[in-house]
Amino acid sequence: MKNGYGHTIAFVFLVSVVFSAILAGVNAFYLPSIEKNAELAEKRSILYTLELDNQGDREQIEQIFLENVQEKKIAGIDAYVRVDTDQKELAYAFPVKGSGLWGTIEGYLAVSSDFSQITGIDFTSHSETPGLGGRIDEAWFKDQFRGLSIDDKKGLSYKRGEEGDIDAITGATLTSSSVLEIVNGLIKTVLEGSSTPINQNKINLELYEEVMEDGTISYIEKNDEISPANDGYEGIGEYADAYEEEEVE
Amino acid sequence: MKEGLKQIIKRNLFSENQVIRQILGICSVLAVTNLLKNTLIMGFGLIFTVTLSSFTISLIRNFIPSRVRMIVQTLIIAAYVILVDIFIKANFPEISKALGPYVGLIITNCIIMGRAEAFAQKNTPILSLFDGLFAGIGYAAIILVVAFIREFLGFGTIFGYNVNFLNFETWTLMVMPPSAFFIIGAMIWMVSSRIQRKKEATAK
Repeated sequence: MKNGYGHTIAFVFLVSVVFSAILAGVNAFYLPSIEKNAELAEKRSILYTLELDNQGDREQIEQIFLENVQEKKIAGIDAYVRVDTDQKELAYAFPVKGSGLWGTIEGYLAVSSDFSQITGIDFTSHSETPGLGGRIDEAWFKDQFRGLSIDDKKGLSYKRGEEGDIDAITGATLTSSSVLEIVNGLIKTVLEGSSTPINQNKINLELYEEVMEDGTISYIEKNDEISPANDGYEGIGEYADAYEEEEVE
Repeated sequence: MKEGLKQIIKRNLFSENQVIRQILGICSVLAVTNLLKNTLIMGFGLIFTVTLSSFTISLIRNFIPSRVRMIVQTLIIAAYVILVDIFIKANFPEISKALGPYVGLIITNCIIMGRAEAFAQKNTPILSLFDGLFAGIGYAAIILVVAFIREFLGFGTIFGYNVNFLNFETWTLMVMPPSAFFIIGAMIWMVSSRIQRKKEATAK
């Protein structure tokens, strides 16, 4: 009787329903506070990449975030902007995402407002091997990115002997490469998105060349027309918009 | 012969300790024991899960069709583990991040399934509850010892407080998972050889 088909099916069904109901109830009860925690963790991450104080409790974090950070579209990406008391933009934190070894790595990468260096990187979620790839969360790894110059059109690379910018994680080659790919991918997107000769550096020169090879000389003329207006760091967002409009015409 | 409460406690804590004697739950020992704080949360998570799942399974053991026995056990275990996971996420988000997938992996911790199959399936709910509770405490005690050694030598701290008064060089190996293997291995060796010597002494 206990092992009959009817009993088996009814039993499994009943057990599933009861436990699912309990879990659904508990989940609904805790969901708001879990979401709040996730939001706080995101904010801590953003503050860390923007070189702001990210310690302290919920209220302090909210306060620092409110005073120093604004949301804005930069180079076509929804970014977080660090502003000083005069509303001058200091750095931009961009959300980044890419595939790691076991799953998606998500986080924030911030660059200075003149796009000349990285101010910080932090990961909000990943499922890399704890103790190996999971060490991307450790301070020594993340701190390496602070202040790294991104003038080089080749992108960042890991150290091999004398050359390279950062140390990879021993035993976590794939995770290390993924992180580098994510970082270089974002830098490329951002630089192309902003696509302006800010400091006449190598990347912008390269962009000029690429444009010329496409055979569209008019672009360069337009660039020339607009460049004088680009006299500071503040106008980058607006400039990018203007550039897109020109392109449509 | 049915066991009494006293035997259950003694068996789970010493003579058949899940980690040292049964060599179960080793993967979580390797993974979480480099910090005492994470280890403590993991220990509580496991104690909670194994106690309640043993109790629940024992409670409905006469109704569980034997054909789907293990599926039902896993379902009940999983439900409790998800409860723990949600609870930690809501109340200790930092620890939740540090423990990562290991809370979810309590589901596959052999200790819980082992207790369900070996004990809860055949014994009364109250006895099963205590069997689970002390199996969990036996596990937690061992991983806390391992974590104490690893955190002390690896970071020079105890529960995050600096105790490195002698200023010794911290031992990076202790932070990494393999060190748990060495420590657990040494513990198993010590306990086993002691039991062996006792046996030989009584044989004479």
